[in-house]
Amino acid sequence: MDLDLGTALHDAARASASTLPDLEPAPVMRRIRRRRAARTAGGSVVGLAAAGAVAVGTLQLVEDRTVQPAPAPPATSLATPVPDDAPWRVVTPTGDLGCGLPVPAFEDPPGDADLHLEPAADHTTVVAGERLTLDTVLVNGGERDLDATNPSGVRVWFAQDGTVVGTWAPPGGPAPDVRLPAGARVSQPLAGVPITCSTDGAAAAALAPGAYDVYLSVALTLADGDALEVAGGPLGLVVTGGAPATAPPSTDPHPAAEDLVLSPAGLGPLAVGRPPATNPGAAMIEWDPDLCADSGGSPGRWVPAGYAPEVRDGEPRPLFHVAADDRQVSRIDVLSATVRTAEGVGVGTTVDELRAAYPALEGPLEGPQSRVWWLTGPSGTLVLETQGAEGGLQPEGTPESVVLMRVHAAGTEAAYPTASSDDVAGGCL
Amino acid sequence: MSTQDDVVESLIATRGRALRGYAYLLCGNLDDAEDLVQDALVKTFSRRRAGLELDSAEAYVRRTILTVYLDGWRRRGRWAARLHLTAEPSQTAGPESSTGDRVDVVAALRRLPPQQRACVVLRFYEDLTVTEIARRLAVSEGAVKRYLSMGVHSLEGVLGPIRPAPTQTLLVRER
Repeated sequence: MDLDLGTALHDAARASASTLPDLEPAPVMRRIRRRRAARTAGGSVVGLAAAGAVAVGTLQLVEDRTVQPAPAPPATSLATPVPDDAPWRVVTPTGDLGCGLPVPAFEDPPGDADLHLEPAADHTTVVAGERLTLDTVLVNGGERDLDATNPSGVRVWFAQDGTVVGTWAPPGGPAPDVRLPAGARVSQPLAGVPITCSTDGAAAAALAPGAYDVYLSVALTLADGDALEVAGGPLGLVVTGGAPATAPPSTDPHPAAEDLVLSPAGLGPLAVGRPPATNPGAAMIEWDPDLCADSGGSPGRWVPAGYAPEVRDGEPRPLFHVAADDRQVSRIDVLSATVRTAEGVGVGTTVDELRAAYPALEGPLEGPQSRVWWLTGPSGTLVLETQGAEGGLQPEGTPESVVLMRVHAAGTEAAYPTASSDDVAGGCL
Repeated sequence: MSTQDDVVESLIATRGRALRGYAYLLCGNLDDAEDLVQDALVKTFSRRRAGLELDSAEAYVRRTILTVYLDGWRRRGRWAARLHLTAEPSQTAGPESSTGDRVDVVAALRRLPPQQRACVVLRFYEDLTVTEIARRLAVSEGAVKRYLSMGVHSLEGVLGPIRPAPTQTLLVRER
């Protein structure tokens, strides 16, 4: 008998809950009220200004205008039950956070740490080479006022696969004083162009398109000379390639076949280098769970959605082929003569026409059954393979012409031959 | 005491177990489920919300539990010490069962990647439609179908054939 998964899950949830004592409201309510106080303490501007506690320089005190009138703030911001020499509880990296280094684990004390640095959002997107804006907040969630200096501002680190590969220059100059009363928070709106880590003194390049984890850190020097490093993140960042090199941006999420334009950025709105789930061309593809089930490998592939197959070589063939995983659409293959680039190049275009359309065309790479040409854009590479009549690959007298086109995501190998082979995007083998 | 605080305390007292059960299905670990529910309650109610009632309060918290769970997966640096992201059974995995089925389901669910696990729980436990799941997770419907397909396929490898989820959306409370 088939398993009723819904009932099984409900049974499991009920059983798990029965093993634990009832959830006590009091500790949760204490945390809720403390969090509300931390969110609203910055609104008591008069008291803070009188104490001269407004941070200067790159940190600006937050007024949280979205919160309804809060309970009265503490009568004095200086009364604290915590001894002054007690160590601060801080969300802090357990190792160095810097260029070329593995991202260290973060020590995160249980509950709401005294000091923590939070990005205001969980994920964001930026075009390669353009300015990224991040809203971050330094929170003093404890019961002790913070009196420190912040020599270098908030540092931002970009990591891939657990290693820091990028950063940006610290914003502005140093903030001379950071006085953050207990329960207060200050915001630091950051802006800069993400760049790669430069290891040999050469000028750093803009961070390449792809997915990154963003980490934050701020080094504080306390009044007694002790140093603290407060860290935060990660938040997810997708660096996109921006506008395609030659194709105009498409607003239709599912263009008709004859309106699809191929470029180094992708096929119409289907962008290489971006995840299928959130791709602008998500409507153009769908998951076929049974495809390749008999191939011996893992079943399921992404396939075109809503595009009628074409008959080529006497067989119905997909309009395009796609290779993708959770992280990105990595490759799109087009063997159809219907799809063209913005310059009108497609299957059947002669080599002379191809070279005339693209003076910056690279190649050719001599393959066993084709010649490979390519155009590199910010977020991907458009590859075109040509064949002539040599070797009987095409009918006698056929001028050398484009037989297939591919787009590869940036950072993936592209300049290699696949014509007349089983190597097709999303293939079973 | 404010009206909202009354609602929150009532929610904790009457629905705390159900919320922890839901969180447990997502993260597969009792300790993490406890933390997940507490964090979600604090995140949800640290802002004052007009017109809050028990039903809507629970809906808010469930959404936040899901968000915090998935964000915890993305925020690997802060959750690394908790190891709840691994496919290995946690040290405080869950209750022993008088039948093997219940433990098998949780163990099988724990082996799924977080987004597949979330989609399976939302589809089979919360009885949401694909469209509702896509909206909840802010992904395309195609992606949800894929996660469900892969998740169910993986579960069937361990649990055997699974009855398809109902096609209608049901308003479900804890059974």
